[in-house]
Amino acid sequence: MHKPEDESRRYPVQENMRWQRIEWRIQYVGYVVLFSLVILGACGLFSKGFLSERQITSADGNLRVEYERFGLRDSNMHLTLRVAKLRGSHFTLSISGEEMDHFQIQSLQPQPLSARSEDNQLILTYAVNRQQAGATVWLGVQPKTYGRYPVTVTLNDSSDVQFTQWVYP
Amino acid sequence: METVLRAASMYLILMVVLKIAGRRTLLEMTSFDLILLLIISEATQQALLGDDFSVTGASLTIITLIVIDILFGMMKSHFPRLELLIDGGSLILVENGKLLAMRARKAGISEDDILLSARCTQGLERLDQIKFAILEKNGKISIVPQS
Repeated sequence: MHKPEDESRRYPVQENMRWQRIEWRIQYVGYVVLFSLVILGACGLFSKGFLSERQITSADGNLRVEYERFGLRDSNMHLTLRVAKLRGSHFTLSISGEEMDHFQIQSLQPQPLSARSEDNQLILTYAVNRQQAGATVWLGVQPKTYGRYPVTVTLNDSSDVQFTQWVYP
Repeated sequence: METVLRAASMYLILMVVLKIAGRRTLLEMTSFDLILLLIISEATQQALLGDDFSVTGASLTIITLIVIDILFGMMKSHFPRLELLIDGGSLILVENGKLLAMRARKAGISEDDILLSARCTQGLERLDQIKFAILEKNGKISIVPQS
C-alpha cells in the first residue's frame, strides 16, 4: 500500500530521496555555518569588535599602539600611538611595513613638526613641550588592497612594537 | 579583472546563502520579504561596484553576471547532478490524502501551508481531498485534487 516515507516515488514526479537527504544534511551544516558567521561577525572577526581591538606595548613600556587586527578593504581603520615618557625636545615615530604602500592615510592628528619618508617608512617628528608628560598620535587609515600586513612602529629608534593587520577583500 | 571577480564572488555567495536558506523562503512573499530583498540588493550593490561609477564598470558587471548565469544553465543541462545540487528536486508531501510528516518537517512546511495552498489554488478544504501535494523546485506547492 503506502511506501515508506524515505523511499523515492516515481509517480507523479520522479524523486531522488537519497539526494534529498544529502541536501537536507548540507542545509543543516549550512545553518550552523551561517549562525557561527553571524556570531563571529558580531564579535569582530571581520573588523570592529572585541576580537579585533588590540593593543600592544613595547618592551620598555614607552610606546603603546592600539590597532585593529582585522579590517575591511576601503573602510576606515584607526591606529592610536601613545608615548608614555617623553625625553628631550623632540620625539620621532616611524611606521614601516608594506602597509604604507597599500593604506591611505585619511587623517593624522596632531600634525607633526616634520614628516618624511624612507623606502616604505613614514617618519613623523613632534616637538615636546616642557610640561608635556606623554603624547598621543591618532591615525585614520583606509586599506586599498586586501592581505596580511605586518607593521612596525618605532619610537626614537629605541622602543618598537610589531603587529599584524589582516584586511579582508 | 577586479570587476569580474567581484561579480562572480557575489553571485556564488548569494547562490550558496539562498540555497542554505531553503525553498521555504520563496514560498510566500510577504511585504517584509520584499523589503528584505531590497535591503539585500542594496547591500550587494556596494560590493559589486565599489567606488566605480563608470558605464564600462556597470556594463562589465551586468555582463559577467549574465554570463555566469548562462554558464550555469549550460552546465546544468550537461550534468543533471549539478541541477539537482543547485535547484533540488521535486518532493511529494501528500500522497493520497496522507501527509508525509517526516518530509514536510524536514522541508520546513507545515500541514497548514499545504492546506493554504490547496485552498488558494484548488478550493479544497481538507487534506483527504488532496491526491498529491508536491513541493516544486521553484518553492511553490502544487496540489493535485482527488478525482
